[in-house]
Amino acid sequence: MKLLGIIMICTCSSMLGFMQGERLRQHYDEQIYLKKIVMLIRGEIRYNCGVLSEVFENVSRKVKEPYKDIFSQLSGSLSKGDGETFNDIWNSTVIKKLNGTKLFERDIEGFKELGENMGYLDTQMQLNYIDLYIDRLSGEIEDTKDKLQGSIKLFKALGIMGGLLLTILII
Amino acid sequence: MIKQEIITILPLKLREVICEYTNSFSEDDIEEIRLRCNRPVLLIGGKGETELNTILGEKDLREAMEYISGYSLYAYEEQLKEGFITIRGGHRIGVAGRVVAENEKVKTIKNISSLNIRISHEVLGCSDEIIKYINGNILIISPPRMGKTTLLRDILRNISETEGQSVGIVDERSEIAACYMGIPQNNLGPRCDVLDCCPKTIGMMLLLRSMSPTYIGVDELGTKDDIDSIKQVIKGGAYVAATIHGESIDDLMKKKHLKEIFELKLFDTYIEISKKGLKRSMAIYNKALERVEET
Repeated sequence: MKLLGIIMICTCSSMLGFMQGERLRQHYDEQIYLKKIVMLIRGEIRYNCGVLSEVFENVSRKVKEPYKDIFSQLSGSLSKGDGETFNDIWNSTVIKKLNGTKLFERDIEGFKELGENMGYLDTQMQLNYIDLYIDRLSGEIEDTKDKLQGSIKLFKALGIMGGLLLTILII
Repeated sequence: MIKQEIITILPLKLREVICEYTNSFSEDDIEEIRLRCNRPVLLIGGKGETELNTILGEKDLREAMEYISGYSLYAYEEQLKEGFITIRGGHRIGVAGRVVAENEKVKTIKNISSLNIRISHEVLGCSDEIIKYINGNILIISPPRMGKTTLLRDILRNISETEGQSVGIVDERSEIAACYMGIPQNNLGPRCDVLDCCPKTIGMMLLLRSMSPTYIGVDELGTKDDIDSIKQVIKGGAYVAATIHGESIDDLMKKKHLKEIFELKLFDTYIEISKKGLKRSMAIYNKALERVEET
């Protein structure tokens, strides 16, 4: 019975460590996907020169869920002309729903800032601002990548060690 | 009632007022809405001019520009240099404010102080009566706000409904076809191809080479390059249907770079639109500038 308990505790704590490591990996993948999305937005503005509702409609056709739904809704809201500001629409459709993804708070905050500077500049300024955001995001992706392997190992080790420690304490 | 696509570009402050005021109006009663900073809003149409009590400020005009550009002013950068923006539905918004110029060219217009919303009207069948008098290359002449684009659109639709014809339209300002995402929103008949937002001179050659049209339709000829392109299209074996700003044929003949049109007898049919009181009238002339019909 004791042995079974020890095995259970160690397995659970190890699983927690593995899950935390996996979460970091998923966050890294999500950041890369976000960069891909921003590059799609950039391409649509640069080459198709469309208005933002067209840009986001086209982007929504090229991305996976939940982004597909998010950008499709954003495009719909922009076309409606309900009298809301772009910022309000961006925050209520994109930012609110990004909370359900694997992105961290600071990633969402950065994306929110991108929305604050969309639309009212000339094309070159618009592209420059997106480039600036992409540079910043790339830096963060590099940071995440650098820390990723070490952090995954650390979480796994912490999980196993934590389980063993708990077992010792209980015994 | 005013069109919904126009309501959605107005500042919130004005939407309810204008809806209430125009409730009893038909869609065609209003031709222009003039918004000026710190001045009353004006509605201009067949019933004359109406002044609304609403005064708009700088902030309201900025708000209207956000809606007009679909929150994407950058996308209208080039159009803004020309002083207007064409929105979905083919409505043209004239813009005035502080001009930023560089090397004698307009770079942009900022601090926008006036907007002139010209509401586009599709009048199906407005050319039905005169279509039998029309042949070959067609030129529609009229001063602004007389409906030359509306007439051109309907002539092209009539041609496009004729078997064996193929119509190509170079819609530089999106006013003829009112394309949205490349798809015409106005009725242009079943045999019509549209190059949306394309400069006239480039577009005419492009259509001639790629779509083998029997007719090419263009709006608002004006420059010498436009006339040269027309000559090439005619040489290439297609007919042209075009519009031009002017009071009359005599008025155009006085303009040096447009004289050539008549000297070379480029067009076979001329349609002059004028206004007598509140009523519009049309006079049709043949190649020899003889009056054929008047409506």
